[in-house]
Amino acid sequence: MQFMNHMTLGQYVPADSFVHHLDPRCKILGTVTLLTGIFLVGDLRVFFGWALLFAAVTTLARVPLTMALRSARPVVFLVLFTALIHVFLTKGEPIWEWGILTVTVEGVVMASRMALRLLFLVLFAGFLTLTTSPMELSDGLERLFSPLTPLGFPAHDLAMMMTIALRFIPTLLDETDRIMKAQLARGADLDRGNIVRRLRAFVPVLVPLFVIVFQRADDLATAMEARGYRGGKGRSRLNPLKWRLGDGAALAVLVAVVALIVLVDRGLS
Amino acid sequence: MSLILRNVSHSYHRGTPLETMALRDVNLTVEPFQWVAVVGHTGSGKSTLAQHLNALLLADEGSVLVDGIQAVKGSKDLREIRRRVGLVFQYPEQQLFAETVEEEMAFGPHNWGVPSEEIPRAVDEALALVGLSALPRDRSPFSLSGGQKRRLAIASVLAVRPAYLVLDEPTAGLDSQGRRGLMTLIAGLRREGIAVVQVTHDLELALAYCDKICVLERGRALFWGTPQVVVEQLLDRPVQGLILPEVLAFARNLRERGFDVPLSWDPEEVARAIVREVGKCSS
Repeated sequence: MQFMNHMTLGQYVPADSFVHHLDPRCKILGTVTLLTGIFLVGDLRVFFGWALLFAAVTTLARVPLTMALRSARPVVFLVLFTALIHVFLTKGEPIWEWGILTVTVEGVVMASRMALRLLFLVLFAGFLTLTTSPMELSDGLERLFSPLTPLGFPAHDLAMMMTIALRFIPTLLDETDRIMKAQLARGADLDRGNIVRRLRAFVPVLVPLFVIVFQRADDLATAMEARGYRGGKGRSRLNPLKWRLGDGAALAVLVAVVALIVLVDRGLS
Repeated sequence: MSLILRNVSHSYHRGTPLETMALRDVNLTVEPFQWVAVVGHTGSGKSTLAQHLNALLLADEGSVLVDGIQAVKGSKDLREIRRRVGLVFQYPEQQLFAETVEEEMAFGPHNWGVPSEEIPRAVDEALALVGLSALPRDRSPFSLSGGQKRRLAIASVLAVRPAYLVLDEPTAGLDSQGRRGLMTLIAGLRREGIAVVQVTHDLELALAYCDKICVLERGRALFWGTPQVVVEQLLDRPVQGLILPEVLAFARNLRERGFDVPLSWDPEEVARAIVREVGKCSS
C-alpha cells in the first residue's frame, strides 16, 4: 500500500535540447509574452496559430507531444465547466432550447474561446516547467526580480523559499506515507465513510505531520544560521546564469511570432 | 497459532523502470512466546518485511499467514490481521496526535470497536506494561520526555492486546541506558505472552536478548536460527554491513592465535576464559 506512488511532482523532463539549454530568464519572459498574447487573441481561427506554435516549441524541445499535452490533464474538468457555464449563460440568438436551458450562438463562440484560452495558457505554462528544472526556475525568477530589491522587494528570499519548498516536497511525501501507515497499523480507517468522516479520520495524520514540519523548519533555520546564512547580500553563485546571444535571438523570434498572431487577430476582427 | 511467512517476495514500483526487489523468497516463522530478531543492514529489506507481518504491505509472491488467516489483497480479514499483529514504526513518538494521554491511548481500541466501558481498563493495562502507570491521563502527549513519548506510542499499540508485536528499530536514537530499559520492557511483554518481532541493525542487541534471529541481506533471508547457530554461520560468511560484536571478534582473534577461548559474545564468559589461559601461561 504505497499511497504516494502515483503522484508526480515537478514534471521537469531533462533532455539535451535547444530549449532546455536556454537561459531560464529567456524562457520565463517568453512564457509571459505568450500568456499575454493568448489573452489578446479572440478570434477562434487564430487559436490555430497557438496550436502550431505549441507543436513547434515541443518539437524543438524534443519533448514527446503526448507528454506535453499531459500537463493539461488536471484542468480538463475546469475547462469543461467554464465552457458549460458560458454555453448556457451567454445571452444572444438562441439555437437550442430545453426548459430553462438556452444555447446561443454567442454562447458557443464564447465557450470555445474561453476553453481554448485556458487550455493554451496551461499548456504553455506547463511547457515551461517541463523544460526548466525547478532550481533554474527559481534562479531565473530571482534574477528577474532583483532590480526591484532596492525598492524593498525580497527577490532573494522568495527564491530561497521556493527552493526550500520544492526540496522538501519528496521528504514530506515520505513522512506522510509513514505516518499514514503507522495510524493504519493502529486501526485508523482512512478511506471509508463520507467526506466529513474521512476528513476527521485524517486528523491523526495531519497533526503529527504539522509537528514534523515545524520541527524541520526550526532545524533548518538553525542549520542555515550556524553556517552563516544572512540572506542574499554579497552571495555569489556556483553556476551564474549567462545570457547568451541565442537567448536574445530566441526571445526576439518568439515575441515577433506572438506579435504576428495578435496582429492577424486584430486584422480579422 | 503462529505467524508464518512462506516464500515471500516483494518489489517496489512494480512495472516501472524504478522497480526494486526488496524481499526475495523469505521464509520466517514466529511462534507464540518467541522473541525474534530480524537483523540487517540499511536497505536489506527489514522494514519491508516488518510491514508484511501486519498486512500493510502485501506479498507479490508467496503467502503470509497470521494464526491461520491469510493476508490477501482486498480481504476483509486484513483488519483482523492488523489487530493481531501490532506494528510499532521507527520513531513511533512521531505518530502521537491527541490532546491527552487518555485520548491517544484510546485511539486504537476505539478504532477496533472495543466497547467504550472496557477502554479505560485496556488503557491502564497497556500503560502498566510500558511502566507508565503513574502518568496523569489528562497530560498532553507532546509535553512528555522523548523516552516517555516512545513508551506511550508503544503502549498505544498494545492497548488492543495484539498477540504479536512487531517493533521496527525500537532503540533508534536512544542512549545505552534507554536501550537497556526498552529491552527490559520488551522482555516483560514476552512474559505477558506477547510474541515479539524486533527489527534492528544491531546484531549485538539481537544476540543478547532474542530467541531466534533472521539475518537479511539484500532482501534474502540468509541465516535463520538460535543466536548460537547464526553466529556460527556469520563467522563462516560475513554479511554485508553487519558488524560482529566486539567481544566475539576479540575471542575469534585469540582462538586464531591458539588460545582456548570460546566463540562467545558474552563478555564475562570470554573474560573468564582469558583469565584461565593467562593462568596456564604463567604456570
